[in-house]
Amino acid sequence: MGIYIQSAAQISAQKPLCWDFLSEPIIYQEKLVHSLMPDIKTYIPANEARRMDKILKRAIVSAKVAMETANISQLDAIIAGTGLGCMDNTLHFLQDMTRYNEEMLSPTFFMKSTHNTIASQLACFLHCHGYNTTYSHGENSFEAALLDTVMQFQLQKIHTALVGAYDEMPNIYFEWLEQLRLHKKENNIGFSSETSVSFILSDIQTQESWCELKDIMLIHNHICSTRDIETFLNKNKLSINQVDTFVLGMNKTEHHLYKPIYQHLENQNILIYKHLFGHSYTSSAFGILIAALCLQKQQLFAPLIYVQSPTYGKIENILVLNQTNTAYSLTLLSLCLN
Amino acid sequence: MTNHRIAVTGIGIISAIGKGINECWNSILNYRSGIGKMKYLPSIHTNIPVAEVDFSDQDLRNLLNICKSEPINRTALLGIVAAKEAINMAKLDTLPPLTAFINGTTVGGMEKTEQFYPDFKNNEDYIALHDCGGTTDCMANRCGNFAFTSTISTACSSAANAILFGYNMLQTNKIDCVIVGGSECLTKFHFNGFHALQILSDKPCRPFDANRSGLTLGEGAAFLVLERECDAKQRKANILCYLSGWGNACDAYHYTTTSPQGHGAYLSMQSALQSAGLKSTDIDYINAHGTGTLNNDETEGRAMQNLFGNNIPPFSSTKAYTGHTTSASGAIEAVFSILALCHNIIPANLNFETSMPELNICPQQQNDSTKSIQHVLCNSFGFGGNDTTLIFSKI
Repeated sequence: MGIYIQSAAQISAQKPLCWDFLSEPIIYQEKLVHSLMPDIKTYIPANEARRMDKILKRAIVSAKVAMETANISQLDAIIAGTGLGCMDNTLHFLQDMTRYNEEMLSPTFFMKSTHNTIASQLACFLHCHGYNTTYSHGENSFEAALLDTVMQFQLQKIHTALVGAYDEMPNIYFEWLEQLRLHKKENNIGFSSETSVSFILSDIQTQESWCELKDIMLIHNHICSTRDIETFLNKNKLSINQVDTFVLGMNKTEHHLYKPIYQHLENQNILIYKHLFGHSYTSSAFGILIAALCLQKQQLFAPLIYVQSPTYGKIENILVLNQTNTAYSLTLLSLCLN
Repeated sequence: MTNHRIAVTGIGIISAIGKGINECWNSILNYRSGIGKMKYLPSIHTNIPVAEVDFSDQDLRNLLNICKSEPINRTALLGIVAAKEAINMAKLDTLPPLTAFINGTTVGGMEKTEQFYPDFKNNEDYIALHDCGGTTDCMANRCGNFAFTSTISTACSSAANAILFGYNMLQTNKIDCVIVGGSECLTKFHFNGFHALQILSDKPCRPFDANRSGLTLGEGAAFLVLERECDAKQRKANILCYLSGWGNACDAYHYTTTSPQGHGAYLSMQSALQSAGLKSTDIDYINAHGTGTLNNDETEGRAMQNLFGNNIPPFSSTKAYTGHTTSASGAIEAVFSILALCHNIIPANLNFETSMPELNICPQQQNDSTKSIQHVLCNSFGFGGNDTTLIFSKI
């Protein structure tokens, strides 16, 4: 059995619901960039949209567009990754609770504050009673969601799934993170941003399939070495030389966490994405997105290229590495075999 | 893919009715509830009862040898106590290289965030612990070397979903051993949230009673050690029971209320039975979600009636003992389900007097040790309709 990415849609710091960033990306100098909003009323009836928060609107619209592109109307599962859940509502409730000393509180911000608000409201909007869950584990939230999705397919519990990465970055939380970075003396993280990426996965390959999702692995408390990569690839009957392209979750500034890997890559293309999409708890989803796009379109796009291999030809296998201070993930995507 | 039997080889718990398996189970055997007057939560609503773990943060730090200067929150402290007990019971002196730690929580580090808010910015140590993942890793790093850590946050079904995620990781051979469960301390944030929703009872909760008036919030943590049966047998581990199946469905109805027929609850229980390869008549006891709210108990009851017909097995909610421990409840009640199975005792549903007029169901009123229990079904339902059911089975 194979698992195939049938479509994806994004709403981010780049022009929403399209792939303009592949040719004409928006370049930011700011330290915090909120998502650019698409025209919501095209996708959600106005009376429903009025009651929805921005993070939910972005999740629903990206999911809906991805489903339409994949020509799928019924889903077996909705699996979300979010580092902070509905943080804006969380902060509103916290603020009211403090300001009014626990009295006369409206429950609205609270009931829309939980991390699972997004996946469960997606289920309401899409009338999906199937498997529904939410991962919230810092910068590996999305990969955990993707790993769960893969397991659901492997156990034949599902045949289609929406797997998404959804995060917002309220100003107050951004200030907290800035303070934390200052404290830890971390530099060069680029800009903070928000994420909404929805993928549609299926276990049936069709004409529309973008690529095959071969494998995903997530390892705690470890810096990834080339040996780890070889072990992972061997499990998938590949060698490092058969991987033509690497996607690394680092910025244009060389990141020490990725050095053990990129200094050993000689014949491979290296793509990066955080200089375009910024940094959020779930920005690793953009790494999977650009890998899937390059496989589908059989092209490497200039704004993404960090290193281009002199022997660059057909794009067949892409390995996506997300290395954080606490864990790393490897995701292998391959060209669909006809 | 091989279908492995997944064994439970260790359990650990801390709740309002005690620290550790023995204290908690003894409280149940002696009908001792942990619900009482607020002692640790610094809320102004002192008239509302809660079910607190009767240890201050400093007591918990002393217990775990964690010095005062180290940044840690109550959710993590509770979690470490429970996880360590589970690991000890499983006699895992050294964890297998591929061991995972999976936690269910929603509160995460909120307890410290709200304590310092609005001056939170200057508490760098706690900013890193605010998000759920930060709190989980803080726990995991004190319990051993784990190859994988993750956090599930589906509100009140978080721990149950963490347990099924661990089960699936074992089934698909991603890992060889997993510590799964959930931890949640009381915070003013969610206490006031539930209060604003007007679903907190001013008396100890009375699950499934006609005169119930809402839930009682509790806190605690529980963890299970899961292994594939073949691995557990090979290392001669003591197998307590098996996690034989799970169900997960979404009610897809509303942010906080459940559909009138409890559709999600029905689907969740039904798919758990299917996953375990069991018939509804095989279930000997149901540990119900039973929060004591008007909405939950009626719709969960309706879903049980729809699924089991006139043969609903003995059922009880143990929340009148521990309070509703929200994200941890799935693991705390999994532990009670396992203990019920191991001891052949159906725990009573405290504070029940009158049946709900709209339904034809009545929970277990006294502890019953006269029946042999082979299979226990355990429900956990979360806001947003994230409904999860686990089934534990005897050897």
